[in-house]
Amino acid sequence: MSDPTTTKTCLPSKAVAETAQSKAAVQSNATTEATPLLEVRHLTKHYPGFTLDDITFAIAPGRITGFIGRNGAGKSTTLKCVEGAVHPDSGTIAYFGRPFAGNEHFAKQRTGFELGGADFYRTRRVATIADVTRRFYDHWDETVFARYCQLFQLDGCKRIMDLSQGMRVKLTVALALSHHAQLLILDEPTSGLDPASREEVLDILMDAAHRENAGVLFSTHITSDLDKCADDILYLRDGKLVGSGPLAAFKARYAVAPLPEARAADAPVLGLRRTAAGDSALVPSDAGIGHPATLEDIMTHLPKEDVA
Amino acid sequence: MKALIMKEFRLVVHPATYMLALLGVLVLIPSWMYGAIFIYGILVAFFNGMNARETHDLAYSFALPASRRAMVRARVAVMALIEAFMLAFIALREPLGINGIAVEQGPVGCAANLYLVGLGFALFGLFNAVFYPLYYRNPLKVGAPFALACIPAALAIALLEALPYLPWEFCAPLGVPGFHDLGAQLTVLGIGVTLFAFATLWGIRRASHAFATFDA
Repeated sequence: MSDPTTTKTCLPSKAVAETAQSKAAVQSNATTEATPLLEVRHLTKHYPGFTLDDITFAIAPGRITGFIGRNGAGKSTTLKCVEGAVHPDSGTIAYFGRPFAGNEHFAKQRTGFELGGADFYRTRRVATIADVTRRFYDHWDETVFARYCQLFQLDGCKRIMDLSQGMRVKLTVALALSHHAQLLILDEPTSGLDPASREEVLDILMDAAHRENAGVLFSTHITSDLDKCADDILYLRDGKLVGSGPLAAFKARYAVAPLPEARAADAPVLGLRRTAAGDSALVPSDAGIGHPATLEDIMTHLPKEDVA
Repeated sequence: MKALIMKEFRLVVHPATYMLALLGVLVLIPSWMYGAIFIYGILVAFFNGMNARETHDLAYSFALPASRRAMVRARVAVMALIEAFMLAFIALREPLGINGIAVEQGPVGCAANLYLVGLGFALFGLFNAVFYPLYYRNPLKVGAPFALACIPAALAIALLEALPYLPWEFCAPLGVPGFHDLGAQLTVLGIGVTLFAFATLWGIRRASHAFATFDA
């Protein structure tokens, strides 16, 4: 959890002020403080051998939501449904209080997506992609983009294939922020980044959320990312949303104890993990045993629930 | 729409497209088999489809504030522009005196005249109407739709080259180079352009329906 007052600033203060002003101008007259930026209800998608089942969540302004789950849990499918690249079998998606269906243009003008690992048009130059992208957005701000390029040391003359994975992610984040997106949706933006670059990207997301009141939804496997910046969490397992809500409350539900101690206390074992010191068990925190679970503990224990 | 067409030209169009489009200049060769030009023309759709897939165009495009229908329209519009560009080279024949040389050498298949352009437009329209609805069922698979669309296009090209040799009277002028009997030539050109427009629009409509249900 991060405190906005201690958030590292990734923009010069003047830039932040200008951005905030532009942001305020952009913010839709249709959105209010109470309206979720994104509301997904009962989203279901069937594939042979996999079902994304009844996913419901909302993203509020100014909050960062971490989307976690194992590979194949359905995170990317959920995000693709939200982007409109995949059609859900049932359920509703609403952006800024309006149904996505029929308001796609409205929603995407205000949302920044990064779902493809920023791995497109590898032979094209950064400046070309920026020049093409800006034509799609009513509120594209060239000054902001130039500032992010400077901040991220993005060279407009470089081809995408010459950028590291981290720089590609930074490019897509810069593109999203330069049209004053009120909502950022990113699929594993920190995957493949070195620790320093990861910190930088997370700082940017925190700036977007806490200084510009944007909502952020990002999937990740790296629990330390969530510990650093997430306010809320969505935990997906086998296509089902098994945990959602404030991160602190989610973590407070669980404790970790050695398996024999859990058995002796007759505590319900929610998950198991084999360690050098013996099996450890994830138990409800109200069992009164063990120590508070970290997010890493929860993620590594819970998938083995069936074993228990 | 304008932004999407710009995106197609700057990010999606394969560099070979420009080379293939310039091969429309082959119409300036006196007494040549101009049907080959149409083969180069339809190859443009294949190269661009492949390039779109290899550059992960969909991952970028779905994030943009643009409808799927607009994406289809932009891609087909670019193809139509290239097709029209290839056929426009015929306008240079008369100023360059090529028609006179061609008359002396005699015809080889369909001659370079406005009949050829009209029939060429119709042929491109046929290709667009078959290829794009198949392609947009799954834009990640380009080969099979292209192979299927090539069948009617190849038959049409063969017919185009054979027409002047058919015994019917109305076929004979197709083998005469130059802009003789301009009224008839313009009529065929007009019909060809109309067919091209209708077939391409129909292709866009069917392709949009197909793409609307595609899951990336």
